[in-house]
Amino acid sequence: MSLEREVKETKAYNCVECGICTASCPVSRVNPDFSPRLMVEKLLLGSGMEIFSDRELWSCLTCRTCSVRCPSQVDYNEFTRAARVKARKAGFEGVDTHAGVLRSIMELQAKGFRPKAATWLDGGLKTAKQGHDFYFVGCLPYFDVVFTNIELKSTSIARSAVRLMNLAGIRPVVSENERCCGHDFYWSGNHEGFEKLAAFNLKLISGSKAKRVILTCPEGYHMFSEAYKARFGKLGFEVVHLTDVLLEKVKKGKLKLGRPSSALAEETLKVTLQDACRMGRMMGKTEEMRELLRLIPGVELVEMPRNRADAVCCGSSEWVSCTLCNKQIQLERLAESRDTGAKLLVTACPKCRIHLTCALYDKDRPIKIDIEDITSLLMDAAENGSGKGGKRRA
Amino acid sequence: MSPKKKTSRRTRGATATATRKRRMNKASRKKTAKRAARASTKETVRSAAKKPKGATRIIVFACSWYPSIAADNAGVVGLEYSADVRILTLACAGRLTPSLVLDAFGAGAAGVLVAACKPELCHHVNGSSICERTVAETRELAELLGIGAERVLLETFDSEKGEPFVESVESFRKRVGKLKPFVVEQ
Repeated sequence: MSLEREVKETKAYNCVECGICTASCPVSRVNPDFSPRLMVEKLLLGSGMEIFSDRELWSCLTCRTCSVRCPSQVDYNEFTRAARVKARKAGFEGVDTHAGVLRSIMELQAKGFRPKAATWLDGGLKTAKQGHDFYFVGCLPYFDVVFTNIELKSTSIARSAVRLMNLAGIRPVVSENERCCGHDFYWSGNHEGFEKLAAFNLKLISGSKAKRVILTCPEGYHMFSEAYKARFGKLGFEVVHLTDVLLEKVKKGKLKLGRPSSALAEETLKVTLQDACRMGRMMGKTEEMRELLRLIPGVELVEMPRNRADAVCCGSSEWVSCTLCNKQIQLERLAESRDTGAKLLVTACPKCRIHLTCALYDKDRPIKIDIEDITSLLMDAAENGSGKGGKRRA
Repeated sequence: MSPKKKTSRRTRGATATATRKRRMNKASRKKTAKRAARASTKETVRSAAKKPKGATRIIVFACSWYPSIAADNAGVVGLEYSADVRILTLACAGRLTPSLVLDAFGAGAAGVLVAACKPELCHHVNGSSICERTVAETRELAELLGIGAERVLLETFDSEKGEPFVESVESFRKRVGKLKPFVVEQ
């Protein structure tokens, strides 16, 4: 199998062998066997099979640091994806994490199994069957089950999101039949699976007559705004991240933010933000979340040395190949966040929260820092701001 | 031992590079074998769950100790049970993962019965209790995926007699056969 098309599409022929990609790569830093530059060289020398059979093809986190920094505009990220599609066709696969359970879930959904996953909704939340706004929850309910071993509940993010929307006067559509957005299939080279999942989701959303899809997960946000559009053309609805909606509402005065309960006891709560790759580098959105965090009274945002487009990935992605190297990346990032003096690490992506919590879940726990999703923190602040405090929900 | 192997043993420690290379080869050989084993487990599940139209395919994941021997003994004494049932033997019930069970449904199974030993009799000390947790997790996932928790069942066995095995398999098959089929969209 040749990779000529990939060379053209990713402009790999522009490579000047400067090595900025490998020097920037968070994986190469801890795993010397992995080198984006070497991979591009192999690609240019035309040894496709050598690339496909390389175990390190699956080590890339697709965090896009290399593509952003490359002086010759080589899109290494896109190359990894394209090479994985071909490698999968040639019979190679990455090693699944969590014994493949998340892959199995996605495969069943792509096969057409209709999920009933809205079990997290409780009576106090106002949702609709049809309407203008559709809240796309994503994989959160499944994470609740799979990550009981690290005592992490992810659906609290979904509940917070709906509560926040209710407080801001939005009654979102929540469907129990929605499927995975296909992000992990897309980036791990299973293109057929991605297309099937995307088609199911688009059918579901068009059935709800929604004109706007609101997401809390940066991965889904990136998929809807770029990959879905690239594959299916115009979508017929607007794609927004929840923080965009909330920022607008707060600025207009329709949503009031108070001191979050964790900041009540102290003067200021120092927080630091872990940017998500899909949000910062891929969608170029870094300031909305920061603006929102600064608007919360009693919260002080301190930056890690590597922030915004230079932020380090949370160390694992697509549920393939999680090794000691990934753990090392996570621990280094956690140490960096602790050194800012922050008490709380705010994550923008549910998966960052899972990966970093998992790294913290060691028996000896070398680093002590709380990790919370930005949605949960905002909900806490909004409940206290609207004068309905005291009744704190999950 | 072949003479070729003997020479390679004698050269051990000759140079550090050579040793490392040999070790790496060995490691990669091991890994290939492991990958092949994993692929074959997946393949076995898939081929076992394939079914003729209308059949209620039941997959039984049986621990190789009590349940599997019980299934053998059922055959020895000539006990009958439905031909829709396929038994896959695991080295220990602790080997079961949610992924194996879900893949069975993906390949067409209507129900999955996990046959383990009683926790206090587990040959591998805690395999059976690990299996309990796995099955609980799998049932939750099956519920979320619209399959239904009642299609995944854990049965524990404390004897090598065939009767209890056949009884539990048959009653599970009957119960699953009465359930409304789960939705698979096109």
